[in-house]
Amino acid sequence: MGPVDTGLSTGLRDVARPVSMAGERLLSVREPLGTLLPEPGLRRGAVVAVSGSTSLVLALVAEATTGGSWCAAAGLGSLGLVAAAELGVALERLVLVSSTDRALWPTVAATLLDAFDIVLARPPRHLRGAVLIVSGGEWPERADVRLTVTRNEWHGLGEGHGRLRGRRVEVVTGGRGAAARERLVALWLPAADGGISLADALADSVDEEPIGGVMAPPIALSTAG
Amino acid sequence: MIVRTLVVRCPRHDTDGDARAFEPVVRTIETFVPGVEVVRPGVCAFGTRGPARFFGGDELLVTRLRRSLPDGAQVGIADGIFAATLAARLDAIVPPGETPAFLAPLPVAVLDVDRIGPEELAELADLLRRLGVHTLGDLATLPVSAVLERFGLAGARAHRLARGLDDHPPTPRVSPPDLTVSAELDPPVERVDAAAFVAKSLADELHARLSAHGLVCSRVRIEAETEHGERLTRVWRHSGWLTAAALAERARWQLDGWLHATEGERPTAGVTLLRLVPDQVGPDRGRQSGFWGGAVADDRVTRALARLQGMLGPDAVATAILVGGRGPAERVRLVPWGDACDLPRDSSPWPGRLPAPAPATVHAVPSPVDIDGLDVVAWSGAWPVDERWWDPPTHHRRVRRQVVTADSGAHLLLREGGQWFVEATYD
Repeated sequence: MGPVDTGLSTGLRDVARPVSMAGERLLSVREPLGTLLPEPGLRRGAVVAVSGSTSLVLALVAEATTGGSWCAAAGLGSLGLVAAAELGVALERLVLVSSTDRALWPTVAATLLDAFDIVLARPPRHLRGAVLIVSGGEWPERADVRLTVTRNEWHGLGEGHGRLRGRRVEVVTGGRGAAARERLVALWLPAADGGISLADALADSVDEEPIGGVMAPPIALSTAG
Repeated sequence: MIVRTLVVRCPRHDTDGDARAFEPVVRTIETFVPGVEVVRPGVCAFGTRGPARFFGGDELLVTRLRRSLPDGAQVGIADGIFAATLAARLDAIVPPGETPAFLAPLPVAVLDVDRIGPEELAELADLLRRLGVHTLGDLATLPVSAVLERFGLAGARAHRLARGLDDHPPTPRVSPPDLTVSAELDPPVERVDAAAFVAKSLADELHARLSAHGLVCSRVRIEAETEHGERLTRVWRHSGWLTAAALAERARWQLDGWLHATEGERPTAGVTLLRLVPDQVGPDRGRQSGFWGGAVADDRVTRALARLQGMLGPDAVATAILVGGRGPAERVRLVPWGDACDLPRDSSPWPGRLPAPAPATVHAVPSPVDIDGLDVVAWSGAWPVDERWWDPPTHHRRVRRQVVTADSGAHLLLREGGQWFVEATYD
């Protein structure tokens, strides 16, 4: 692009980035997930690191995709897409990018961050370049928001009967700035009716054991801005 | 309606680099037959209805055509371009209406003939063979629903072809004039790579415009003008829908053909104008019928994805659609970005389907697990797994179970041949 006069340049900036109102800088999330975040939505440009639950990642991006935002998932070959649809993700705006060539990873991530509203990624380990995709800071320590599922309790399944129906999770929120103060939020993810709702805190003490199952490295949820 | 089609193959020119050697052949055919379409270097086709009537029948048309073709050229006529391409390999004229019978005894490997179809057909042919489906006739007799369920979009395409129906019958529609994209080249360009570079961005632009209208293109006219006012034009067709990358590739082949033509045929000056005209467009059924009214990507997204497809390959960028099936993986089909998809959507209720919630992690490769070492605290009854319908004698019962382990993890397990696997995780 060639040089433009100041007036035009200011005008262009206003057109391209009408972000004076807080609401427009935020991609909305379905309730009650706003309670997990320092603001009632995903702030453009922020890095949200989620660990312990892929469902939570999908649930967080669902409303943005139905609202017209584009979401890319890079290198997440095991993403459960039926679950994504159940949690409300508009699959036609969720673009899946797979790359077996690690050397291309930084380029892939940079390309996606430039064009998409939301990029989901699990940076390959031992790849410093991957830090680029999550806004240049240390990762995941430098994430703006960290959401860690610390407790996980499934309901509906018995000994040889029933089926998984509802799950109560406890999420510890942390991060930088407004998100720095750690909080614990209990959620039904999903509730027995398939929705997501706040759950009461359990009476018993918080279990310090890490949740088991297959612990995947955290998924960074990065909103381009 | 299946178009009766004549295909000319020049095996000697049938490599990507040989677009320039093939161009004069196409030019010759064009001198007495209208509407010649290039399928790929070495293969071109045209509808025979008019020409056959003019020359007094298929046989006379072929005889006349042969006189102007180079040695070794093959000619075939059949109903639809797929069958006609195969007929060309055998130098055969398949009488009208006999195309299914002509196709039936041919091996499934021919699905990939001349790479005129989508790329996944090669893989599919291999899979079919291993499952005991050896000929197109075998494939054609399978119920279409079963083929769709098992093999997805590629299977549906293959099934259409095997029955003698053309892949993706085009839905002709007059193209809105504003879809044409063009670029003026100043200074004029004589080098193929430089012209191809411009063509690439034109292809991206055309593709973006088509997407914005919810359209896809199955035939494109490539036009060029030179400094001396020469006008070059050639139509390319594709049996799938043309992606941005496919459009760019065809433009490059064509420019190579023009700019490296022999003296006398070659334009006498550099190219000053390049134009891509979508000659046959149809509604993008796959994307238009989305629940949310179709997802029309903005330019930034489209460009980024085109770039990634260029870097990683077309299949590395995809969106998912849900189709019928029981398990979490069976219900998902990945559609490469830019491809149209006319698979039927999720057709619930599906008997035997796993109940919601679905697992948020579906392992790409189920990992074997020692069920005694899992410390299972709760488990479901068994869900049956889709049976191996193609192989009844050896099919053994496979089942799925949900389990919760002592560490609060919830998984979907699959048992096959006495071995348990972790298929998915509810995380």
